[in-house]
Amino acid sequence: MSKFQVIGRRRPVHLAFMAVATMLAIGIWSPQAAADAFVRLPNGHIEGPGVKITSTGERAIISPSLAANGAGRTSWVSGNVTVDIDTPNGVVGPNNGAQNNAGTDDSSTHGSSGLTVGYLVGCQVALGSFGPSLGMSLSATPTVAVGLSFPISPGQVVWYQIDNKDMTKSGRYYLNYQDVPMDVQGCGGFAQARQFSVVEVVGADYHKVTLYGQPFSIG
Amino acid sequence: MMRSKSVRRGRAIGLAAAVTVGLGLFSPGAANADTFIPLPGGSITRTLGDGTVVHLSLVNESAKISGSLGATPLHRNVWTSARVIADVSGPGASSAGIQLNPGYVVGCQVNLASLGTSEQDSEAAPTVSGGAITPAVPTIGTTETLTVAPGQAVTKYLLDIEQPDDYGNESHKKHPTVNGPHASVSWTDETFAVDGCAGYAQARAFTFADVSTSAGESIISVWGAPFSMG
Repeated sequence: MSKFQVIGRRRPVHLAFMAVATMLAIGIWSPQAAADAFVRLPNGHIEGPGVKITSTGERAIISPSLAANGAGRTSWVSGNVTVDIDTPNGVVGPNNGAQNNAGTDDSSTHGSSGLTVGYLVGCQVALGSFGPSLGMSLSATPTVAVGLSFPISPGQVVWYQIDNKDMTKSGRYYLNYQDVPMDVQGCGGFAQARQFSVVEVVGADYHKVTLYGQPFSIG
Repeated sequence: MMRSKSVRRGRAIGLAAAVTVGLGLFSPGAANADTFIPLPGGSITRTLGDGTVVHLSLVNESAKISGSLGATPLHRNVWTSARVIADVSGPGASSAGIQLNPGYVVGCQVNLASLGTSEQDSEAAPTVSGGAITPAVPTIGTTETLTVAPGQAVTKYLLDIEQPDDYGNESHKKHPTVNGPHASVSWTDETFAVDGCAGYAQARAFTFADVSTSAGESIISVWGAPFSMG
């Protein structure tokens, strides 16, 4: 009986050791906020049939997520997008926005030409729930099951729309945004983002042009 | 017993590191230079039942292999550009309606859904024999799993055009509708991507044209050449 109790005391110590090692490995014990990183991004320009897209003043501030576990990051993005467009007049119909199907660049139209601005956010490695899972049950025959699992899968690249603007006639249009937060949670690798601006011109000759910003690391 | 467990644990960490290095996750820096691929496009001419002639062509086609933001060898990303043009002539031209559905078929050889290591240690219950308790020899169950499946070829359409249906409900189309004998769709740097492809990945442009005239209804397709996504 006494021997059994000894084992019963030792095991929790061992489990605690494993938990600590695990946390250290993914850096959970460094919760002090790192200084925010400020990233100034270059201007961009593209011309397509009847369309000129210009991106200026793009910047990002990268800070750790409030989750403070190293797998979450927050960025705050700002930018100005200007569009010169030559388009047939359009009438805006009812809409609920883009469906973000793969291949559509998260852009849609609904009767008139449109501008969509957003960010592509990519993560190298997606973490499932990571950590020691301890199952302990006491019964007539005590059993201890210790499982340490870290499911990893290739990270996804997602299209995150910031805002859009309908362009019902030819002219110059603007889309400005300041300190819009973008969160990445549960990313176990390198994470990065890149601005995209899509203009779709309606009409018998339909055009779709996409401008990309420079990719930047979000930690 | 403590020692044997820490040895096992060390092995688990070593495995994780090996997997990480194997995937090249530790080289997030240099983005590869974009690779430009000129493509031949394609064209097709069909005479419909009522004598109407439809000419469908895919021109100025190209692709750029551009690094995915996922930044591992498992991620593939291309930017595509092209223009597809439909011209209708003959008896049905005056009543023609054209719907162009451009898109790409993106195929991946091997789908890598989840790469996981899970180490399970299970201890058998102490056995009671003759009044004394003897801990049983621990049994070690170690599973290291790599979930691999045959990849799929997926059709992805380029356009998302929202309009109310006849009952005023939300409906999304993959094509603009043009009433007239001429229609085209062009695209510049449209992204097509695969996240988690462990083998060869390739893509191919296509456009289905739905041409209707007062006397006929037809579907005509034009395909570009397949190209590697790198």
